[in-house]
Amino acid sequence: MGLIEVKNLEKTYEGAVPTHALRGVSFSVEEGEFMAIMGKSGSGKSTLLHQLALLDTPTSGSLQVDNIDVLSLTEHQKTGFRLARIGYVFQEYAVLNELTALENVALPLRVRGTQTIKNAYAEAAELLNRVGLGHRLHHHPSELSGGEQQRVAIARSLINKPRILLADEPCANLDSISSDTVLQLLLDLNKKYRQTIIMISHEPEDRQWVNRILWLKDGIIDKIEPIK
Amino acid sequence: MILTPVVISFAMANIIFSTALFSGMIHSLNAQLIDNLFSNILIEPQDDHEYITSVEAIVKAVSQVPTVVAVAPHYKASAKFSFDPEKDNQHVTQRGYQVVGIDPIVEPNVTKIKELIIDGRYLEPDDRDNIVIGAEVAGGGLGSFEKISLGGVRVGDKIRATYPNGTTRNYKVVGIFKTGMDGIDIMTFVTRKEFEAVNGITDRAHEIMIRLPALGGEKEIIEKIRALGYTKEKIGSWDSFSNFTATMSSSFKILNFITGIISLVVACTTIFIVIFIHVVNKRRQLGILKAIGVDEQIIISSYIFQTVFYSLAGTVLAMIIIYGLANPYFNSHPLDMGFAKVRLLIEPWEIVKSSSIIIGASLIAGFVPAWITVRQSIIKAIWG
Repeated sequence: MGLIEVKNLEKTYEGAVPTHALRGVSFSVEEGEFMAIMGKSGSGKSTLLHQLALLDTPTSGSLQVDNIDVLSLTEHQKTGFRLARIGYVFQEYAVLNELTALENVALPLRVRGTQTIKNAYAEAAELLNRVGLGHRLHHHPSELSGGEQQRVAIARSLINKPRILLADEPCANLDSISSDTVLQLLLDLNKKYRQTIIMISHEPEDRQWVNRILWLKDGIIDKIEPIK
Repeated sequence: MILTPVVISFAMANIIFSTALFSGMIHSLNAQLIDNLFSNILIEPQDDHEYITSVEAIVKAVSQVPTVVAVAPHYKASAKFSFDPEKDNQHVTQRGYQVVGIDPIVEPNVTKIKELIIDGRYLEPDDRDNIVIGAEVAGGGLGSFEKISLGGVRVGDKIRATYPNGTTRNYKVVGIFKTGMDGIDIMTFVTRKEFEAVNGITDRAHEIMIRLPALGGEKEIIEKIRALGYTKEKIGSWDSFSNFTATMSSSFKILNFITGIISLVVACTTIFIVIFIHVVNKRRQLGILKAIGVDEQIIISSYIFQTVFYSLAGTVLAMIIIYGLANPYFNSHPLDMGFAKVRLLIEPWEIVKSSSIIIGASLIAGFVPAWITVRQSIIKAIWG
């Protein structure tokens, strides 16, 4: 059984004309896999990732993560689950502007309360060092470039050592150099720490980084393409 | 970020200011009545009697009642006054005013007219041909209503008074006082000795004023005076003798209540809108925090804490505005309301009440949008 088991996942947005964003998606992700979700705009990539990250609730289907039926969890339990086991990288950085890079990264650890403040900052500093921002610890997001902000967001998503890292087009707003830096970082994490990574991408050249590509089309899986 | 506490401070200062202004008006009006017109307690003759008799005995007995500060008997009569500034019988002004016969030794312990002499001096015990007049009687720019004055009497001038019994007396004006309340400034004062000599009476009074050290003990003292055997005289506290001022005071209280409510509603609405917008603008951040895995309760608590901080900062700023700016200004530049100089009367209870309401409104204003946001989907919170 995989780390993530998705079965017949459906998501319909109600409205005057209901939108069927996901129409019975089933797949499995093994631990340590680096998988990309690709497809045209409107194919349901982000909707699928939101369901996996427990940011949204599917209309039907089942989702098991680490043998836990996460859809049966309460909101409070889902919040705790996200905090402990899932790292999420938003497309648009999603860092908190009032906090410095160091504070942004340390925040999930401080919220979890498993470390002292001093240790939380030490770990955050180490992670920022690892993403090449050791010299930007006390800078606010407004003082950082887009690529640097995205690396802060990635460092923040890793601080609690989540088993799963979900990234929604992490390089969408970055130049090619920054994109390569971010993707190399994700690959390193995948290789060194067996971090399970699922990443949405639009770029065909990103296939070089991943083990598998899940192609979505109109809310259903078009194909699952293994990469050598 | 600074705007929110600033808006809160002005909203709160508005509540405190309007309340303090009306409280100041009511206080000044009451102070005029107590200090210059009725004192704390007033004794009047029993029905169908012109005078209170055996006044010396009454004064002696009442003076011994515990907490009574002073007792002052008054004679009162309406007299016709005339002033001939050119002394040529061609430019004579005639008006009717009230003459009050007082004991110049005792009176300053009961009323504050002596402290409010603006020209000349107060009466002395042996004064017979001398008179002290109010600014509205003197006129010539000293009062507010020139047409009811004698047209410009000054200290040293002679005025003629004709009493109801026909006796005519020429008085030298030795002092002019001004309380600021027209109803008092239209009075004149002579000594009791003079009044008794003119009217051929002794040991009587039209009223007896009783001064207490503070407001509030009137009912108890009235009971004690009645217990001394004075049951037929009309004895009442200062507020029972003036329908006009009582109505005015009551009107101010109603105005104070209405403006207080309006200010409060405006303040609460303003604060609610400002904090609501502040929190709604942070909706994306709330969504991010929730996505990271921050518990809803922590998010709501942090926003409530933030709004409480803003409202406390606003309260401190409001105190600086009121105590640092408005109060010193009105102390040095009191408002002339016609009946008195009005200063702000800031009551601590009102501050506590206003602060509590403002902080309460801020709490609700902080809680509601934070609660709404954390209840909605994370996706909607972040991307709208």
